[in-house]
Amino acid sequence: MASAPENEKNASAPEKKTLTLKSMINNEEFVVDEHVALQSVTIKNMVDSDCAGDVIPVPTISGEILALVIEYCKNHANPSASEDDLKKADAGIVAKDIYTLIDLVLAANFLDIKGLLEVTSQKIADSIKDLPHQDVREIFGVENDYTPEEEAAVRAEHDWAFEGFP
Amino acid sequence: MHLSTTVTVARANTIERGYCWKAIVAVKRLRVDTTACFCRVDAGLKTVAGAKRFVPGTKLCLQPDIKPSIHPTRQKTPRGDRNRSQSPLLPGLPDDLAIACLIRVPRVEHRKLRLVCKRWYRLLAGNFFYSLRKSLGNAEEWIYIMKRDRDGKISWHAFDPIYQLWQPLPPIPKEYSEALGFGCAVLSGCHLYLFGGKDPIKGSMRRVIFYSARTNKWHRAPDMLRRRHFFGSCVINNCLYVAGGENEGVHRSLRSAEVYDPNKNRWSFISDMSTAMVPFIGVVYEGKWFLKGIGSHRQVVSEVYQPENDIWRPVYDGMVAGWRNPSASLNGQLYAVECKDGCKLRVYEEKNDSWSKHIDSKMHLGNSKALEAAALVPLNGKLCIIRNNMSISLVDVSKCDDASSASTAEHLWETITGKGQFKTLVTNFLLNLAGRNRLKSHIVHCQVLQA
Repeated sequence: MASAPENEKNASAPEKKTLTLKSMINNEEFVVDEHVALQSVTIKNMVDSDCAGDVIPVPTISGEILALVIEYCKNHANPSASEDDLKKADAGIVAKDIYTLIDLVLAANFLDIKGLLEVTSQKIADSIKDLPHQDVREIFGVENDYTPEEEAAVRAEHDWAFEGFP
Repeated sequence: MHLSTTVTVARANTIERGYCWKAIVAVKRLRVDTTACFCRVDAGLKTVAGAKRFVPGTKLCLQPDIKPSIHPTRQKTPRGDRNRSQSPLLPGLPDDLAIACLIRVPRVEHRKLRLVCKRWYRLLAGNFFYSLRKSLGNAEEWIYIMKRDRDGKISWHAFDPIYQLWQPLPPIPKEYSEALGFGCAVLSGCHLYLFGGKDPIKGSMRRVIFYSARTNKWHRAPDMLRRRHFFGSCVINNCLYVAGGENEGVHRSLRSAEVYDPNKNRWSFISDMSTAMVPFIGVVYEGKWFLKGIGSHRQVVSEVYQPENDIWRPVYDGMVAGWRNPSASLNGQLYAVECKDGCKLRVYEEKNDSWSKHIDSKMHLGNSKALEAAALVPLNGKLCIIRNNMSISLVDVSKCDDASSASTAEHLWETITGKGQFKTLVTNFLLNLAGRNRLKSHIVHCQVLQA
């Protein structure tokens, strides 16, 4: 809103400034308001240093993920959104399968959006929290490198942990 | 060296040397029985010919399809192998991002994380994981309660106040399983020390052990310089101070005092107290250690210690006069129980040197031994009251700054595990724990550990 009077003065650009983000994975393009896109520190740095052309290419992030990221940025760029609304909206964005969540973490990290990185990594932590360890392995694809004996030993360690005692 | 001997034995030509590498790495990594067939364990590497040649006793496996490539892969292979054996913590994420996720898993589930795989186990066993949790504000505080059951045995229990769950713990090492008058303190936020005390058979001890909330294990620390039991102890600037108490051989109370610095891993004497004492109450307030106890002529004595100039001096002010056990200091304020059941607290006011200010829950519980407040400890910025029946209340003392709000302070009190919840799983656990003799057991120490 602060930029509105400035724009009127220029008269040549009456509408809000927008940026186009383009996923380099499936070439999908998204037109977003600049102040929304600038929540990404990576994009902000590009814009600030005049590296951003008309279309900002976003490598390694698919259109599907980019759409979610933009949804997050739009919600958080809205000054009238209450904290509760934002929490609800965030919960909706991260209510996804593990693969999408992992892509979202990578995207939030690449685009340097601190808040999104927090909610996505918290969501992954919450999913791990609610699963038995066998399911954690299966769902996250973590290889079990314990032999049954080793696993039993680790299990026992948590009930009776001794070190250096006879 | 494994590699050089095998190479000389084999007189391998340069082209085959790459495969030799692979075979060795594969053998070392997988610890394959040398009589087994290599193409089963390592078909992708096509190492049959090489492996057969360099590992004596290998049975020849007929797999005519597999031929060594004529293009040597050389150094690239070992590196590729190493990467594959170092699988990521969470597939799809670089390890730093995986760790950013894993440190957010609540402490109550850390036992499970260790069970997932060896890499997760190693991550949680190292200091890095918990230091990161601490610096990012993810560390959680649990209450540790040490009690003496009716049979005289020491047992201990951890309570997670967020999930309101009791946690299993490794047993107390046997030298402390029946000890009397031992000390208990926390250093570095996560190490619970037990020290000194009197073993029913061996008598007074110098022994020091500690439990790490990060690894869930007990360890030894250097012995104290003097044997002592029924002494006072405190922590100032992450150094452990002990003073006074009794020593079996001498049969009288001690004046000596000593300090343990975990960074130096060493005990050293500090100045003797001005009078010998068996302390029954102690607290650190404004950087000074206050101790009150019974002197050698059965009189009540009080002393204060200033660590920066290593001086003890007797103290007679209103603070020690109105001081009750248990007490605790939190955010520069000094609190003590007013009512035995901990339903009312008294606060020390320095400006008029008195304990005239009170915080009252207006919910008197009773005077039985079971309901007696055994400990006051700071927990997440609140004051935690632990009673002998293992009921726990939290008081948000930060919200009662003026006397008028303190008089109507009911809303500041919160019971996190109490009689109401005794009808739940906790009840059963506690009943099993202490049986019908719950009333006869009592709490000897309470501490809060972070991880």
